[in-house]
Amino acid sequence: MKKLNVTAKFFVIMIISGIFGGILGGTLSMGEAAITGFFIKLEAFILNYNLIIQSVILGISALIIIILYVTAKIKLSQLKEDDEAFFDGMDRRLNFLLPFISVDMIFSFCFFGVSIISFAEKFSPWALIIFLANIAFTLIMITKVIKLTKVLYPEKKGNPLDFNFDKVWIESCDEAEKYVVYKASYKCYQFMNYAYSSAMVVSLLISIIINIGIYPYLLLGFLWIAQTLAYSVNATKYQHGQLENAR
Amino acid sequence: MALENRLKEYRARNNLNQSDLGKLVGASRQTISLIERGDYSPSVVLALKIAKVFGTTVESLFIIEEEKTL
Repeated sequence: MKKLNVTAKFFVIMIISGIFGGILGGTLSMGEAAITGFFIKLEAFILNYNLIIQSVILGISALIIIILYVTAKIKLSQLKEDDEAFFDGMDRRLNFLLPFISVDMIFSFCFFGVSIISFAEKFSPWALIIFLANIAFTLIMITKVIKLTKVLYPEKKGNPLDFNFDKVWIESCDEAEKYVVYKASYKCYQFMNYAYSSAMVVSLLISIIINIGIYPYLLLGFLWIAQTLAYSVNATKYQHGQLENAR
Repeated sequence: MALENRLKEYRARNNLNQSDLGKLVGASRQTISLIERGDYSPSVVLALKIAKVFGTTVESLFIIEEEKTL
């Protein structure tokens, strides 16, 4: 009975989603001129002011990163071995700082990609300079934050500039830390499955009113398949005795 | 069936902080903190190592809540 309910629920949701998608697609096609105009204006605005937009966003991010890093470093200089609340507080600071720097690095690539679009007509060398400077900045900051983490937890190993960093780092983690990585990775896998399907639906809806070419589908499809296969291959591998947790 | 523990009590009795205990059993301070808060159930190996440090048994350190009511 429960199985039937779950199946019925699945089909009801699929039918409602289909109807909703159809209505949304129809509505979008009716407002085609306004929506197309909006996207064209938005693209023109980003292309025209790309250098200013990226300078402001990357500049503010760099400032925030430096402030957070310096305050974390000052706090760490007051390290008290017996103060458990201190360690928890430092964990929270560092756990926020590292992803923030990674997001800043991803922004760099996005902005540089936008700059490259108009490469043939009006590519500014400043775009390349800002990109390289920000990549260098984020790499230096990631290295510095990892060093801070190592001061807090000397058992941690690995240099972020080493291509084997992820492997060395995870090997220096103990069982609970690995468990945290497993839980976070699985949540990320679930989230990305939703993200890919949502991105596909959004691309389909946008395609109704504006020609976005075939590449969004190819790229999304490739990434989605790559994730699914990477997960399946590794799950099979670990099911056949390569978990290595008995050592 | 939550796993309760007396880690904090044993640690205080032996005058050890979380980092010290972590070093003795080859685990991080975060792991000891997670176990104490009841947010993580240690592996058999780690539970045995902790019990050995305190010179006690795993059963006296870790209690399954269901058992307490029996």
